[in-house]
Amino acid sequence: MSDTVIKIDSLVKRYGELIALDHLALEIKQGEVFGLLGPNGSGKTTTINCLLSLLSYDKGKIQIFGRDMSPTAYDIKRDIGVIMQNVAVYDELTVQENIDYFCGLYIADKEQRKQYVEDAIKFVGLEDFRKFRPKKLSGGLLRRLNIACGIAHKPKLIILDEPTVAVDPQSRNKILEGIEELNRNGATIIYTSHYMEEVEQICTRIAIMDKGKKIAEGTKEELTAMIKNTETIKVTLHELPDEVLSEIRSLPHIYSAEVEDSTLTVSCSGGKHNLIRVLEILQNHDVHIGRVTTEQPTLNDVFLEITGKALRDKGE
Amino acid sequence: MQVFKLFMLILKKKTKLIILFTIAFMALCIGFLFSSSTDEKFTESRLKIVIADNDNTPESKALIEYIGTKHDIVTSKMDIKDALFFGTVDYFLTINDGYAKNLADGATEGLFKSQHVYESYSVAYMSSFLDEYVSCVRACTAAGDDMETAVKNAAAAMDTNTEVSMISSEAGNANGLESGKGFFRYLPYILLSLMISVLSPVMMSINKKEVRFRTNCSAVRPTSFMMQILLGSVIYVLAIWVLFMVAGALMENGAYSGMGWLNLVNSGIFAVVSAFIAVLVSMLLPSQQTVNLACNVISLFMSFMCGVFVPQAMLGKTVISIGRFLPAFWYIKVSDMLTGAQVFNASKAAQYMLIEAGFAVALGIIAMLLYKTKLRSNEM
Repeated sequence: MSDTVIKIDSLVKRYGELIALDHLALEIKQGEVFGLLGPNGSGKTTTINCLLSLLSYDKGKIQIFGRDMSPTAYDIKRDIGVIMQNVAVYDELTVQENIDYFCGLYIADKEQRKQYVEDAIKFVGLEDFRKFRPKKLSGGLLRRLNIACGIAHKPKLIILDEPTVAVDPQSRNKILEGIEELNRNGATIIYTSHYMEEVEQICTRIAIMDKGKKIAEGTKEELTAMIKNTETIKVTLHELPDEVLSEIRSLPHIYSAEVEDSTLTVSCSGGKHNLIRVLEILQNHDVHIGRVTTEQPTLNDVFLEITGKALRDKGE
Repeated sequence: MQVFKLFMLILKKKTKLIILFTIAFMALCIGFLFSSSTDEKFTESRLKIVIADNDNTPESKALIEYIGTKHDIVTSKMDIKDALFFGTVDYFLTINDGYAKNLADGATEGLFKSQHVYESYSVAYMSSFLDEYVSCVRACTAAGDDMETAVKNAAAAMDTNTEVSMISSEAGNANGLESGKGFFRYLPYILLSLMISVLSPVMMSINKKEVRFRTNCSAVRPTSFMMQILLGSVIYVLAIWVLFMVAGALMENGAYSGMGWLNLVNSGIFAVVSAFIAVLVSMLLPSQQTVNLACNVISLFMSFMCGVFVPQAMLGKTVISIGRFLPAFWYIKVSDMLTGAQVFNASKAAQYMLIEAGFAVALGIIAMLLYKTKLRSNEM
């Protein structure tokens, strides 16, 4: 039996003249935590909606668990759990009633459901809040309830669409830990986000999307290896004469050196001891330096190099 | 039946509202029931009259004697203006000199002088009384009576009571239809209120975009989802209808006797119409916070335009023309027939109820179309 959980072939979705998905192809394997990374409007949510047959598409093919996905593929839907960006619970019901309702959409057996609901409550740590109405819960607890409603029926495939938007750091960590645990328990996860740190932290494989297209795919290491940059050195300094900057630029493996806001940023491509060489030049010219840092390339660098723009706007 | 259970669970949270509405409505109906029993009875009032007879003839004495049978003739030691001001006297009548002669000559002006409180009801009452008396005397003299006989016959004629009865009301009584005039008349208001204020928020809650999205991702078929909501709605509408029909039977003795059973059909159809209005409201309103406002606007507007609070006979032409386009108008038409306010006509009653049912069908179709449009726009 194939270990491919999702196979998307040449998926095209148009909204009039706008192409939301442009011949998208993805293959997600059993047990993966697959990240869909891209800026807002890149087509992540449209991909998820097409995947769940909530949206019709113009061209392409989607297979889940080796079967064609369609709005009436209820046997496939039974094994999928969905956690969307917006909290989707009933304000009139308590925490327990909400989880029981959504679990009941998949699990008919009352005893089994009771156990599953209990497991979900424990999993998200809402034991003390089971009789609370959603309006009485904090933002973080509400997100946990949202997750519990999506995973209570123990699905084989869990789709999380930006589940940490507007969540405090503590709750965000709790949510990410929970996702890792779900994966350890055997679930295949699709995780969409425009927060690269989260994707880097939990995803085993990542597809970067922009303007409805997949622009890169692989593990974090594979993606960062795709780009020229291997190391970025940052040095804060008071003043840097032009001849010193030119000398730094002439070093081997250094393809860019710029000073902006009293910070020297040096981009390196391969080579060893780049930091030592840069510092030696600065010392030889008696340049007073402050803080020195080196950074490995991030997914943002990957996105920046491929598309020429940052993954996230400042302030996002 | 998970969706049905959800419907009932959310509906359960609205129980207090249902009880509150029901109690308020019952209290209102009981109030109307008691007040209506006194509203329909009239008693003649007796005025306190001071009379100055300047003619002093048998005819003027006969008039005074006759006035004495209808009103209280009093004397006043106070100045007449003071007496009128303090209300110890209602009317000061002076029978002018030459009254008998002028009356015999057929004059109608200059027979009396009067002093009274400006524009009081006693003025209108007494003036009308004197005019009637003079007209009667003249009619008798014209018929050939002499003055003495004419005065006697006029008094006798004015004492004659004519039995007046409402033909349609009698028909109603004969068929046992007069029951439930207050209760069933106001029913459209409470049915609309209970449907919109309870059913609309429940529908809106269940169909909230985010949760519907989650439900659509699940293994529940859309038809099953719809059918379960429909079942819940039918049970709610049925329960409210039964509740008010039982209340109707308790409050109005013999409410369903004779042709009164048509009250059951008429209100049943209107309950369905109200439910469809509630469904439409739930689809059109942006949030649950606006439901109460919509409920008040719709229920009060329809009640006033269709003759729920004010009888249709008292409504203006424009109001009636607008009311024709509203279902409550046709409900009231049938209700008026059943309570005897209009002559009962079985075929017309059936026609009006069919119009009501037509509204239900039309509203149902609009709701379906809106639902489909919403589904399509959600996909966008």
